[in-house]
Amino acid sequence: MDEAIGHYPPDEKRSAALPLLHLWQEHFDFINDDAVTWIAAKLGLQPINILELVTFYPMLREKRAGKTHIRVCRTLSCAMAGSYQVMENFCAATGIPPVTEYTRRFPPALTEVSASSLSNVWQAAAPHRFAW
Amino acid sequence: MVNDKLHENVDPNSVVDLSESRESRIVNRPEPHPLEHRIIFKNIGRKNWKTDIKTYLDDGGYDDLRKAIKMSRTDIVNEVKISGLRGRGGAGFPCGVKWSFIKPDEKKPVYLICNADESEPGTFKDRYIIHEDPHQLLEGIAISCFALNARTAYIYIRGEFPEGAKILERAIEEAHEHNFLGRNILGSGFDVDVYIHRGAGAYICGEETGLIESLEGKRAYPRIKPPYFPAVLGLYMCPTIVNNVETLCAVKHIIAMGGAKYAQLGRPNNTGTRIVCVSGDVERPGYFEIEVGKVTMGQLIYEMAGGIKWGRRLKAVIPGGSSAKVLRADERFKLKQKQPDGSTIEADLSIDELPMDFDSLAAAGSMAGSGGVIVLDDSRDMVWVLNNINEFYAHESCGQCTPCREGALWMKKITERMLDGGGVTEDPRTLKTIGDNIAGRTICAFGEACAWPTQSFVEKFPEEFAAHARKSMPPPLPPENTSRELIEREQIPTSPLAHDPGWEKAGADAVI
Repeated sequence: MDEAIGHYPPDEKRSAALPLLHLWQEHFDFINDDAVTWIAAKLGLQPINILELVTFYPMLREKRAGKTHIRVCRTLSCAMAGSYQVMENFCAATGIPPVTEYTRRFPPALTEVSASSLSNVWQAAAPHRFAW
Repeated sequence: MVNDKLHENVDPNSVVDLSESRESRIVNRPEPHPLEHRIIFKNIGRKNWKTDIKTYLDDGGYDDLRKAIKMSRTDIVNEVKISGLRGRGGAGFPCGVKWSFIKPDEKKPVYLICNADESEPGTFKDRYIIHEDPHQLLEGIAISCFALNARTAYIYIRGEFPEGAKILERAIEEAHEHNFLGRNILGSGFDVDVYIHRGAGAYICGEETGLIESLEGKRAYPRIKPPYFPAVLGLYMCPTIVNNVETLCAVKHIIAMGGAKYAQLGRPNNTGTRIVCVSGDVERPGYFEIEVGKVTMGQLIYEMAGGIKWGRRLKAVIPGGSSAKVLRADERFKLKQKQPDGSTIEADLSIDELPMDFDSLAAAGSMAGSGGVIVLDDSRDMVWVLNNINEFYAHESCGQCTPCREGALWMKKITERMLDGGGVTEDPRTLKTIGDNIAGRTICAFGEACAWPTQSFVEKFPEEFAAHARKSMPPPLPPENTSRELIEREQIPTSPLAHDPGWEKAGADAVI
C-alpha cells in the first residue's frame, strides 16, 4: 500500500484512495466500514471521502462475493451476439438468479459449489460470434 | 469475465466449461485483410509475438525513442502537428494542437495521462494494444513525455482489465531495467516515471476531466471547460495532456516515419491510420486497421467484415461507438468532396460509399468517434437497440448535472416501457424533447453522448417507434409503486401541494 501511495506527489495522497481500495478488496474480498475508516485514516482524509468512492464505482463491493465471480457484458455489441443468452445459461447452470449490480440491498447469493454471485456488468464489448 | 480471466467469443452453450475454467481465452485471429494498412496493430495477432521486452527489442523496438531524445522538444511537437494526427479516443481533436497548449517554459509540473479506460460500447482496440503490445504504448508515452517535458505519466486503465494492468506493470519494470523509463533515459538527462492507475468500472472515467478527477482520488465528476481545460488546469491543477492509447502509439510511428510521411496516409485533415472495430451482425467481426478515409463503409462491412450474417440485409450502422448518431442503410448523404484537381464537388453518396474518416462521417450527420462500428441488420428492433443503449447511459451517468442524470434515466424508462408494450403515442415526441434538452446543456460531453442515440434513432426510424407507441395512456403503475403508496412506505413528509393533480387532469393529450 505504501508503494502505491508513493506513485503520487507527497501532498496528493488522496489519489491513492482508489488503488488502496482495490488492494483491500483483492485481499479481503469486500469493503466494509472498517476499510473505509482505516483507508481514510491512512491517507489523512475523512471517511466520507472514501465512502463516496465505494458508492460511486461499480467494481467496489460492500458485500462478500463468492469464490467465482462471473461478469457478462450487456452492452450493445455483446447483447447482439447473445450475451443475454449467456447470462441466462449461467443462471440456469448454476441455479443462481442474476444480480444486476452490487448494491447494499442485494447480498450475493452463495451456493455450495464453485460458482457464486453473478453480476451483469457493463464492460467493453469484445467481438462475439456464436453458433446456435 | 470469470474472476479475473477474460473470455472472448463466448458460445452460450459453453457456460458450464467457462465457470470451471481458470485461464483467459482469447481466440485466434485471421490474417490482416488486404485493404488494411497495419502500423499500430502490426504485432497484434502476429505469430510468436510475446509481450516481453526482448521480443520487442529484437523487432527494432525503442529505436524511435532513441531517435526522439536526440531531437528537440519543439521538433517533436512540430512533427506531430505536421502529421495531422487527430485524437483516436472519440473526439478527434488534433493532437499537435493539443500538445502546443503546453508552454515550453511551464513552471508547474506537466503530466501526461494515457487514457486506457476503453469503455465505449463497440470499441475494443486499446485492449489489444495493452494486452499484446504494451511496449509500443510505453515507447509512445516516453516519447510524448519527452516532447512535453512531463516528468510523470499515469496510465489510467479500466478496472475490468486486471490482466492488462499486470502486463503493463511488468512491461514498465522491464523498461526501467533497460533504461527506457526512469532516471536519465538513455543518457539524455531526462527522467520520466510511468505509473498504472486502475479504474473501478465507471464509463465516465473515460471523459478526460472525469479521468483527472478520478486520478485525484475523487468521484469521477467531470469539470466544466472553460476554465478547467486540462492543458491549463488539469491534474492537481497543473497542465495535463490526456491522450488515448492509440494516439500515443501513433506518436511513436510518426517519429519513426516522419510527420510528413504520416500525413500522406489517409486523406487531408484526416491523416494516418486508425483501428476500426466492427461488431454486430457481420460474418467476421473484429478489428481492422485502415487508412483514414481510404476505405468506405461498404468495403468495411462487406469485404473486410464479410458482409451481413445469415444473408440478411443491412438496416442501420452506428459508426463511432454507441454515442454516435445512427445512419440508416437507405439514407443518401450529400458531401462535399475534394477532387484530385483541387475543385470541390458535392457528391450524393449511399451509406456504402461513405468514406470512413472524421470529416465525412461528421458531414453525414454522425461521427467517427472511437471507431466502433456496430452493424444492425433487418432483424433488429430499433427500439430494443435504443433501449440497450439507454440502459447503459442511464447507469453510467455520473449524476452531477440534472439534464443528464434525470434525462438519461427517463429516456431509458420510456424505451423500457415501449418494449414492454406500454408505449403511448407521445413517447417518440417525448424522447426527442428530452434529448434536445440534454444535449448542449451539460457539464461534459456525456450529455451529447446519451442524447444523440435517442435523438437519431427516433428521427431516423419514426415508423418503428410509432409501432411501439400505440397506446393512448400508459399502463397503470403497480399498486405498490403509486405515489400514495411510496409516500406512505417511505414515510416522506409531504404538503398537499406536493402532489400536483395537474398531470392527471391534463391527461394523455398533454403537451410537455
